[in-house]
Amino acid sequence: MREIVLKGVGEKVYYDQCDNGLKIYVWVNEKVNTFKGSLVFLGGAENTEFTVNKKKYSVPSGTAHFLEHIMCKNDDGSSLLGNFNQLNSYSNAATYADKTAYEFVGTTNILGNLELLLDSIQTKNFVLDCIETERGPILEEARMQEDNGDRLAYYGINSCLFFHYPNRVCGVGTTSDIERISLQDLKLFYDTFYHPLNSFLVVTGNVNPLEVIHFVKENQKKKKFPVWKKPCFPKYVEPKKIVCEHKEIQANVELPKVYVSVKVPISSLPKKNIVTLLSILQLVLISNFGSTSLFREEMIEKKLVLTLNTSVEWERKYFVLKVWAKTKYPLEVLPILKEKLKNLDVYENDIFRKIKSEIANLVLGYEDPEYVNDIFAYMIVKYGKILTNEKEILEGITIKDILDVVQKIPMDKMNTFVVNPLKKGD
Amino acid sequence: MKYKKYNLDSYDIYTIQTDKFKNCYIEVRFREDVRNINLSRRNLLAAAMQYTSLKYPTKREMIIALEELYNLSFTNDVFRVGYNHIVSFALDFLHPKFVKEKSYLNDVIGFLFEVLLHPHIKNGNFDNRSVAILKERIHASLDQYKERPFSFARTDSLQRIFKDSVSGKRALGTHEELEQVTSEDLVLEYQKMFQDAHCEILIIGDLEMDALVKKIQNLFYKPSIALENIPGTVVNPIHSYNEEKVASTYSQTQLLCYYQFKELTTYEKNFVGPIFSRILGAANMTDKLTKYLRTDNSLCYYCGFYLNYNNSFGMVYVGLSKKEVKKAKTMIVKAMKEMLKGDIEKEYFEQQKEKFLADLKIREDDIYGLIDTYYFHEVFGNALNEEYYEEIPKVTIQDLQTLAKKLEFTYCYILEEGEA
Repeated sequence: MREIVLKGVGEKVYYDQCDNGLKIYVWVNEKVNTFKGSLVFLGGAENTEFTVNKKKYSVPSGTAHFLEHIMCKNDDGSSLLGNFNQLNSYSNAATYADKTAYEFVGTTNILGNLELLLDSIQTKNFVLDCIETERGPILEEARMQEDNGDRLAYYGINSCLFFHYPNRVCGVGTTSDIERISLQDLKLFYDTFYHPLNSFLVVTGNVNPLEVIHFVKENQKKKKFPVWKKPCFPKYVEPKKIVCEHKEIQANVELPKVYVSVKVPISSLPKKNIVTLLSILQLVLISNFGSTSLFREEMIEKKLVLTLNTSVEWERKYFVLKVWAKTKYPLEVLPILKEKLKNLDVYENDIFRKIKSEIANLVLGYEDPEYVNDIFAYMIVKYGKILTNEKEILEGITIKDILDVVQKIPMDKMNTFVVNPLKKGD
Repeated sequence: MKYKKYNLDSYDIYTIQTDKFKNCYIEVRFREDVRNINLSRRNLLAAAMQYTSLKYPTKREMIIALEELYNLSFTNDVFRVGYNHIVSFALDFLHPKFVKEKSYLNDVIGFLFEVLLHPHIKNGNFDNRSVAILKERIHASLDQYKERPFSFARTDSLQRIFKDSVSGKRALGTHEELEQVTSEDLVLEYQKMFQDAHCEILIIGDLEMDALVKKIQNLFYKPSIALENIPGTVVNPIHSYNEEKVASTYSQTQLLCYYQFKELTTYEKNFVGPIFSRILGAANMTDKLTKYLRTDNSLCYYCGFYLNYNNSFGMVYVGLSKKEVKKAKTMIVKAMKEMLKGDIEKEYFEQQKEKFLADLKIREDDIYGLIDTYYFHEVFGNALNEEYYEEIPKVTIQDLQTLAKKLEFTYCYILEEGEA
């Protein structure tokens, strides 16, 4: 076991790895009652095509999510969540683009919870009847997504920006995808991705780290796993150009929502680590469009927009810079947002005040076991490790770094997207 | 954890001193009888008081001040508990020990009362520019419930079943009322709130509470004492059964079944109701509704039940396909009949009680949950966690049956999906 020190925030993480490859991360907060455990597999909604031993496989969109539902069922069709209930814990599971997570939250019997989690997810008996009875609820979940304007916009924008990346379809899958997912698809996905070498365990909260790590290692020693198939993934050659410059859809929104998105090749930016680049881009967008920007104040005072938001998304070899607003005047607002994006300012005072705020958030964040667990799982999947120097990264950002990045952002691959309210009678 | 209540001249302060958290939290609540206020005016006032102030005349300036105080969070909320309409202003801030400035706590407290006591009033009017922006924003908020089928179904059905009651009114008010509110009205509303409303301050964190209360006394003065006792429950007449279908453009149908009741005893409200709700429809996939609707019949992705004590009803909700509504209704009736007959496995029943208490332990890690529980105990007579630990084990299946007998299925609302 070794300790990973998180510099500047007074925190540490206990780390170990089982003989079978399963990595274990433990963070302790003795002041709380709660603990959370997550078993995370590096396989998610976007892994629909892969190669094992030079043989190509593909599964329908929605397979990872369907499997997540099936993993949460016992052989008799009852819910695995009920088993956690018996331990006075609650549990959940979630499928993301790049991972699938199974988790519990409780206050007593951490070892019982870990045993149940590991034993029920690391082995699986696929029962056809369970699969068929779960298809109905999953179809209803997919129909729910059709009523969600934000989701429709997210995948709609990705479809406008990317030719090849598998980020253009909702992870739940479409109803026709879900209809055709078979037992074989689920088994294939499970056999390919659900292996200790392709997973990690994060335990956070009021726990004894030595006890947790010892227990997990002993638990794993009792199990035998086949050799991991180690899937390879398509090397998507994604061009710098975008699919289309403007698109409009109709959805259940009361006011139109407009989005301006820029596809930025990471290779076009100065060579810095990805976290620094992300932090700089976020700071720049927030200072130009956020609640302390003069631009936003003017847009709101002129009643051109009701809300104004920004985000920076990391999609493989690209960043997506996004600005969106709720507005009654979509066609007037879009060119203004585009123009502002093309002329980003660097407000030194503003940016350094925001860095100070971010550091305060960072210190506060290490308190809630559920939040810390989620953040660790996010970092391990996205960056391959828990970041130990977030505070240093923020404190190390200089105005020159920011100017260097801002000057290099190519603003020519820009998409505008409008979500209009459904017309009466639609 | 140390609880302490301070009865001051014209307001009360409830404190919990604990070193469990890195942050501290202060909330000021103004509570008044909903029947005596114009909801739109009060809601707009709350928004205006949080938006700008005399010292911070633009939103931008206010946010900069908050960021300078280490990203101090300053929020407002408006909600209703029975006949109590509550406007709250809350500050969430880093514990002063993490901050180098020695004046930090004074600065934080100073900010809160500066903003509350010196709103953006000039020449007898609230700032017109802010009011216009906020009106636009609230108009949009008033319609936002239509963007999701479940929130539409819940809001629309409440307005239909309780159309003549406070229970059917939205805390945000209405478009028509909002349009009529002027900047001068807001000044009168501000004065009325400070004059007529009960005022309660909630504080939690690792702070010297006696010293902090003294500081607040020096900064904050409310001109009058509110004595009126405002009921925390709205008892509505029990309707005869009615079913309504409403057409929509959504992809999924929503089925809502309302069960009304006359008043529950305090024991039922505090201890029986939570266990009843879990077993019927809120037990993490093991409850009766999930079993009959989702596990056995694959009718839905989500379903559940909750008891709304303050408006005297229980509600079953399901998102499903239109063609499955009839079957779903049969299953809901079956589940409710089992509650009535006490058809509950003893072992499962005991387990759910234990699970409820385990969940309370989790809630004790939530700074906001802790202070809210204390407030609701003091003001509305809800149980404290210590009482739950003592009383929940005593709840019997017969208690659940007695509660089930009080529930009357009076309204079925179906929001039908549009044609694909």
